[in-house]
Amino acid sequence: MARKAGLLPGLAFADARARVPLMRVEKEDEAADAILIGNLVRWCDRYTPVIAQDPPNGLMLEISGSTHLFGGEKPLMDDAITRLARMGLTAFATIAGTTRAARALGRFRATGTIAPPGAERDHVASLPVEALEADEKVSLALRRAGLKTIADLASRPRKPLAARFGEDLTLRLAEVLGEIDRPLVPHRPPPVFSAECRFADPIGLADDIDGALSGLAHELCEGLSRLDRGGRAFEVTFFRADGAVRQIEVLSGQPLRAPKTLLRLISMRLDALPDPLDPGFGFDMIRIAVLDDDAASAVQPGLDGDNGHERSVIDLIDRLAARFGSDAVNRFVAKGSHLPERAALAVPALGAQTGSWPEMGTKPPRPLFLLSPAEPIEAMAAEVPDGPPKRFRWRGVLYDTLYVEGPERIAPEWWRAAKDVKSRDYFRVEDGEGHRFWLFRYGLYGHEREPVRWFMHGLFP
Amino acid sequence: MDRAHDALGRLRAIASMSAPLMASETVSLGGQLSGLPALSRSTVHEFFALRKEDAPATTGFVAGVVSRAGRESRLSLWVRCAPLRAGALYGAGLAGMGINPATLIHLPVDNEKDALRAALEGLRCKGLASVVIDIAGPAPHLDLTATRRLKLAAAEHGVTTLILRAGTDPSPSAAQTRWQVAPSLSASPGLSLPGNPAFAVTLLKHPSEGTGRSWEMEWDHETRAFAPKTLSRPVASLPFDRTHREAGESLRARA
Repeated sequence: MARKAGLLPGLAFADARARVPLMRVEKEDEAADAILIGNLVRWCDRYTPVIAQDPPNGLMLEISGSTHLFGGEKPLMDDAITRLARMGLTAFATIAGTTRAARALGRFRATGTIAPPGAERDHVASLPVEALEADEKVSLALRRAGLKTIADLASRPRKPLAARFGEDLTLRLAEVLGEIDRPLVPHRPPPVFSAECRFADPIGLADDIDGALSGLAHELCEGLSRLDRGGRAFEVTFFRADGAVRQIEVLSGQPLRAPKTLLRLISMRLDALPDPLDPGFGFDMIRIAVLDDDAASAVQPGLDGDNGHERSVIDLIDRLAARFGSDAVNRFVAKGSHLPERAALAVPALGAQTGSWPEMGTKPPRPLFLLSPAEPIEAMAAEVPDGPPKRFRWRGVLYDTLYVEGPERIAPEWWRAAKDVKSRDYFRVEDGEGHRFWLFRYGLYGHEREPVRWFMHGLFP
Repeated sequence: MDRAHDALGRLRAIASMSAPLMASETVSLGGQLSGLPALSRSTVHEFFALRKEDAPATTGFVAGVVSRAGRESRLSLWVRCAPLRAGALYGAGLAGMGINPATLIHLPVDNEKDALRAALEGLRCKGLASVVIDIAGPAPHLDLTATRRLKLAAAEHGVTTLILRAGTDPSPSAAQTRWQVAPSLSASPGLSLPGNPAFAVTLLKHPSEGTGRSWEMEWDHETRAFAPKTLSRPVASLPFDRTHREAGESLRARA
């Protein structure tokens, strides 16, 4: 339309206005374009997992392995163009043996060109030299030298060209001619295994979706067990008929290839979604992919009684992680640090090993609850400047100390460039009612410039 | 007459069901505490802190029960639904109550519905030793139906279930026993040092024991058991400049 009215890319705004006076003007929205391209990348996942963005506004799909699913290259390309047109997008598509040739054909040739491998030379021959996308100066110089098309360049010896216009130009030329292939860098590593299911009629009922997922899980797990592998990270992708794509990820602590367990994890993950899966007018394709896998030898259950218990706990952790997020399910791990906030870490339980905990021995006791951050308290009436307060106020309540143990001095870790550089003197105090607290004085008396402060750091049982 | 006979038969059946449980099916809290009933495994027990300030004591007591209920390095699940200002569970402190923190799965959740869901999920796993449901403040969803469901799941898979409620009054539930735990002044070993963690425990509900009784007990880390609170008594400091005998003689001379 725009081309017919005489509007071409690169036209100055005033000229365009002069040619079409009633033109509506929209500002370019780069962020929205980027989001659209990102969504399209995910949508193109239905054709192949190896996809790369081709800036400024192209997508590069590696389809060598997936044409048979559509009955050839041409049907695949037509399918993509019609589906995109249905979404309101006009797309130009070309197929070629190398990435650079495909790009040049896509930008400077009519849509629908298919250049079989080895025949790129014939197809690109008539393209202008700008299709090489070399520097503007180089293109201009080529035109001035009378070299207008790629065919003109291709017929000439390369060495003088390289000497005159630079090594870059001959490299580009070789790429466009299909002599050298620049490998495609996919937007993410392709999945290790995947199973997918296309529906002639979009499905939307929960039962149908469950049935499809079950079939896919069985297919995937069969493939995994054939190779003695188990998946650790799975991705379920729902392609909606109107182009929306929803991906959910499921993690497993142990290599997993039991379809039942996988289905359970997926359904728990679907239950826990903050915005539930919306089938809209139905899904026309569902895929389960294994993003990360690990060797998993076949196990014979039942001979070792303990094995079953351990296995069930690992499954439990997987289920809880699927439901509440893998960061929420924690294990405590001891670290070799004197600072209490560093000494015991909570790490995600998914895939963590059951460790041992160092014996307490004669170490001073530690509180059951740690307050993070430590809360300032108002300390009053210390007997001696270095001693613990006889009375303190915490969260608006006054406490009188009856029993005191301490101080236990904990110096900062000087090997860390940290802001807190003062020592802490910890006291375990008990009030008249049996509440036990862990207080510390931040800084030493007569040592620091600012007045020392007191903090509540923990609560004892 | 027949009906009476039937009723008698039914009563006998019930009596045989609640026959004394075997030792492995119960968790003894400590041998030295007279009259303290053991907790049976595979059912639900409730522990209450009436005031928010008592939460650390009640949590410590439940941690002690978890460590007593642990068996053969099996893992336990601790589902916690509490505000940030209540403090975070601290691994080294749990170790002080006899738990190997590495055998604990800790799951903080946002609301009590999630806590119940996670707990039920945990109770379906027969590899766990115990599940703690730690909910601070009122929990309207943790009602008779929910606790009954927990109890059935606990019985089916043999997992000890401990409900820990801080800062709330007891509400009707299907729990087998209910306890109120408050902090107690520790038995100071002298020199006004604080002693072992001490608890004042009251039995509020039990299917067979009399309720309303209370115990003053402390956690003994050496034996990893609860023990009667030792009486506060001054301990003589060791002489550092002479032998024991000399010290004894000088004391006698003074007398």
